[in-house]
Amino acid sequence: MSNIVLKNVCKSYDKEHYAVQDFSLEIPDREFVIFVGPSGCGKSTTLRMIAGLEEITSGELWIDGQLCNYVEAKDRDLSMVFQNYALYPNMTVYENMAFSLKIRKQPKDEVDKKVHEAAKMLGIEHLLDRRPAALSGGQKQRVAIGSAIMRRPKAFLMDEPLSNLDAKLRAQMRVELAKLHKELKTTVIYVTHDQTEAMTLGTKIIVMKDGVVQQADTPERIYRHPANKFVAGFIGAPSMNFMETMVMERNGAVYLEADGGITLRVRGENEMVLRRAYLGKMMILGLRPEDLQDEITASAHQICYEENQLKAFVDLREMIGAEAYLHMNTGRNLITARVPSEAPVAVKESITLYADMEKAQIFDPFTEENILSLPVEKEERATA
Amino acid sequence: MSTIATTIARPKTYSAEELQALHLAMNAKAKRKKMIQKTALVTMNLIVCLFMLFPLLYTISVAFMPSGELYTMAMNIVPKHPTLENFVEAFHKIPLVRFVLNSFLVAGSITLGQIVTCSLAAFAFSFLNFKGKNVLFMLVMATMMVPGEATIISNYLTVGSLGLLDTYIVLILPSLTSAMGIFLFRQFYMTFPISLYESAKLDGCGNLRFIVKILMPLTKSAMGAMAVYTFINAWNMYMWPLLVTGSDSKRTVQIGISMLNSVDAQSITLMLAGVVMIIIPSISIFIVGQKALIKGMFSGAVKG
Repeated sequence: MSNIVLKNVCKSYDKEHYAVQDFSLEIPDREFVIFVGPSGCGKSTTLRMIAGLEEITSGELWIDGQLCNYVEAKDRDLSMVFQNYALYPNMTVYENMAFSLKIRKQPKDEVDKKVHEAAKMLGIEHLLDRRPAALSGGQKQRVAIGSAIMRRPKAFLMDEPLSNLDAKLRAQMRVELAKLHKELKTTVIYVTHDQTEAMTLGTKIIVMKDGVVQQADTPERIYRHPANKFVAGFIGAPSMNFMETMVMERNGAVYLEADGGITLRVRGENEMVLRRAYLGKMMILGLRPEDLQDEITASAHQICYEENQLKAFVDLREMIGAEAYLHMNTGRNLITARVPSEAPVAVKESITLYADMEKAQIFDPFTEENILSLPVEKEERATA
Repeated sequence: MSTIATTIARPKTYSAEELQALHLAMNAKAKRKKMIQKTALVTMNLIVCLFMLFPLLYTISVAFMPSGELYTMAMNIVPKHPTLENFVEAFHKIPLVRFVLNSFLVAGSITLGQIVTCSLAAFAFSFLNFKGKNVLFMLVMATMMVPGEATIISNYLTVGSLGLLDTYIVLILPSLTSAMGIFLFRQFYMTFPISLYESAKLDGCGNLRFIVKILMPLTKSAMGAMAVYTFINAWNMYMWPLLVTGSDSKRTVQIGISMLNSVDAQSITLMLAGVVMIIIPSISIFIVGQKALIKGMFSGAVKG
């Protein structure tokens, strides 16, 4: 059982600039929390403050109802996996894994049992006598995870554990980490700059920028209802398309007009929001690449109307495999669409696409906040 | 040459024998060139080596000369009648074995002491965070700027007033730590991955255990370099032992050797025999430790 609470935690190195500002978060037991953000956004610093490797400038850190600001790192009962593995090169894999238990003076046969158990779980039993220098990157990472799980700590802290691995191995370890989390039933706090890792692993994602939390929510809600333009652009690959649009009313319907003769009709709840306060104003429209669909896909989704049709000039077609990315321009705006790779697309020619306006996001150009209210969580759960 | 020129101009097919002959001829030329280069390099090295080693070689040579042979007008580089008499006499005239043992004791203790104190201090300077760390480190570094001669009198008066003169303690104590050693260790520790320390900390490992179990085993080469450097320096100490020791029982070997000179003016050969004997330990330590010394000095210079 572990319950980690951060209350208005700040970190400042020079008393002027804040590396982390007003970070508040409650992490219930067994949660897989991901801190994600561009480099220098304070995600690692926050993790290190939780671990006790950095002092907390102000704010409170509670672990299981105990104020931990001034508790020594070794007494917090957390274990950490580092980006560069941090294995002791002078010890064998066995000794590395047994190290933390040996320090805690646990009986030898018990340590031995636990090491073998963990090694079996991670598939590194045959490596126990080797030294870290004789291991590959993936094996080292497994050993590092192995030494972290030995103690059965209150929570695992992972600081970009997969970023030193190659792409294939990373994908494989990602799956294993997810499995491990299910098996161990422990809280994991995981730092990454890779949004794929964040989306696939996390039960809760904290998106950070410049030391400030932008949004803390489930992966689905972060993807479908980003709180602001930064989150919308950061999560998702290729990233969301943004277009400056004018909100217009014509014949009783609300339209968004953008450069290049694009006119898109807004319906439903979104229409109500726009009609209430934003008519005649400049807003930023955000559309995910998969919500710009070619005719075949769009007709399958029954969104083939003239009112959400747009024409764009295809600059480049990027073949990914099952799908292709179309890089296009509509005059001033550069946009990307994700279409099935078999869709007939002629490069350097115009193409007609249909926008799924139900999934569109609209941002205020000054505050960059999403003006569409997030659906209430209860409702979403009921529909899901 | 002409055959090659014609091939370029007009492609012509060669028979297998012709090709092999051509191959051999061109190979021989390349081989000769390489040989000449190598010979030139080795010769040059030998000459420079001889130049640098001449004083040492001449010392060894003189140590085997009867004293009569040295003081002639003839240029005697190699002894005509080599003799071991000098060595035997040196042993008889002064208690050389005692001196060597003293030197070993003093140099050994200093080396051990410096490794312990310097590595602990360097650990604090590179891994721990405390107020005034940089100022303190600057102070330590500043002591390197003060020449030993400047403090030697006040040091003498201090140990004199403590009643420590003519003891082993007075030989060892002032050299138990050194700014140079702290600096050397600190530079080495700075390249040590900090995440290992942090990981150990989270594992529940205390600072002392971290130093003994992880830091020291991983910085063996730095310690080796430091040990060789310190030992040789301590072995060659002259001024301080000369000042603070008075009796034969505490004298180190460097002072002892000069006693050979003072007996009579004709004893250069005798003294050099003594010198040859006492450089054996320091040279052998250097030979044993040179790998560690070089590795330690250069580690961290290039990633690898």
